[in-house]
Amino acid sequence: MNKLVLLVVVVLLAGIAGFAFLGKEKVQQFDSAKQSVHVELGESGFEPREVTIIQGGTVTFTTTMDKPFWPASNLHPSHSIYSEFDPLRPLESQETWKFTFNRVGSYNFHDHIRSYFTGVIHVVAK
Amino acid sequence: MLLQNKFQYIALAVFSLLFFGFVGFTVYPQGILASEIVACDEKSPNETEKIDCWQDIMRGAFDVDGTQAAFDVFEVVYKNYEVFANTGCHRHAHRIGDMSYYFDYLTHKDFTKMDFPKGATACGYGFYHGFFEHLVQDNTSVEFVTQMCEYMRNNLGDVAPAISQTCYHGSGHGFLLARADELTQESQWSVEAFTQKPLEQCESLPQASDTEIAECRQGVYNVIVDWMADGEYGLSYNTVEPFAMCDREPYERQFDCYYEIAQKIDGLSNGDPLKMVAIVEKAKRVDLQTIAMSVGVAGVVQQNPQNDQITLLSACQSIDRMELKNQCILGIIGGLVEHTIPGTDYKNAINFCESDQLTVDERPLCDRELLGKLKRFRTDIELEEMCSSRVLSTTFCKNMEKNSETLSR
Repeated sequence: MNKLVLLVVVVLLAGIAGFAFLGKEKVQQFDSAKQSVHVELGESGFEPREVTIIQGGTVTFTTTMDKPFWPASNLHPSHSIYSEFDPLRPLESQETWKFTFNRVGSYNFHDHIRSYFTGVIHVVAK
Repeated sequence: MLLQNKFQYIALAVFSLLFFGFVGFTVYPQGILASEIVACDEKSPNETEKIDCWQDIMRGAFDVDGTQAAFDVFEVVYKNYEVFANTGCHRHAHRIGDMSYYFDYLTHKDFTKMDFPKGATACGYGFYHGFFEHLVQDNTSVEFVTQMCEYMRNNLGDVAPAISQTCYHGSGHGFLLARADELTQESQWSVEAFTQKPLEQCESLPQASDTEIAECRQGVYNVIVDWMADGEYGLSYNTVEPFAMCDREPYERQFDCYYEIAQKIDGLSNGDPLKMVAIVEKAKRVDLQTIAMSVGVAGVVQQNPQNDQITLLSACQSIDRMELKNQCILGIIGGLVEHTIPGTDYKNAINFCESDQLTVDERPLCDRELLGKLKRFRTDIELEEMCSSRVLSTTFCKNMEKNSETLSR
């Protein structure tokens, strides 16, 4: 009986370890939330691509590319998920645009002009 | 039998570890994926957030396993959630094109190394439009476009029969997007300022056929019409005289302009073909009226592609003018074929042409249009296979050769 119990325990433990270790697991980890963050659009995309800020915090958007840019909420092209998160026009390359996030939630965003550049902003409660 | 010694226990533990790890690696992600797709529907408060959530999953799938993996998710969502299918399958496919450009192309910048699965033609080649538009936006020379589209023509014809037209169409998108980078001042923003240079670029493509140049121009007009409809760059869509902008264009550009302006008349007419007739009859030429009618009706179908379209067909059949009635019916076919997903063999479109509600005169028209549209997505060999496996009707297959000759004239 002891050997049977040991056998079952060994198999179970090995199974759990294998499942957890090699199986795909989605773990979401937030950076510590900030009051203000600077997000810069470059040739490789938004940096940082994922941001966590406190509700009421501000994200400042700039670009290093010598081209207009237009950060805005998903979905492209309507920006309707968080419609205020939209400068409503292309920004010139030297411009800075700031947006204060007053709504808690996670907001995917993109560059409206080059919609393949994407990112996400997590807004956490105070 | 229980194990005899500790080494056997160790061997069993290692075996179990590997076995469950294998299961976890292969089966567990699929289960997780399915539950994530369902969670998007259950937990998102509105349709746009559901779509955003599903696009996130597609992005995740693309990141791990490429274009086909993203389309696998796309297909599941399309088949199970009408809100996804009815909100612009072509536009949703564009997003996978975005992913392909960013996650794949930009890592090596060599389009000959790209992965283009067969299913990527779904939803009217939306994936390819999205991919090509960004590629050309960032590489805007006529030489680059020619090199790229000729490569696509010579190498992708088997997986995407309409790839060269699609490439030139997507390039039209890209030319306009690149032009927008140059017009940074609000005082510069007008339809003419945005479109003239890209249209000239289209018309200077040295190896494009007349049809492909037209596709390129349509790509240009498509983007500007979307901007007008969305109020971008201070532009607006003229709901009273929608075709006025096109009437100002040179003769050779008017057809392509009308084609794209007509993409929005489903909204102006509330999806009613009879109201659409009143709008298209404002066009000064019959060929412009008919193309506008066909495109407009296809737009109606796009809002509900899973529907059998019989109510819409009845509305078409009530139109007095024969040429507009016929174009209305052909528009249904166009909409059904262009807004379907891979793996369905275009059953909705095929069933529509077999509908008892079509008259004896309408059925051959339907079959001919269906063949023309299917040829965009299926090679001749694949069409033969669809005949031999009875996916396509006997009558359709019997007339296929004759209809093909008519189409090529």
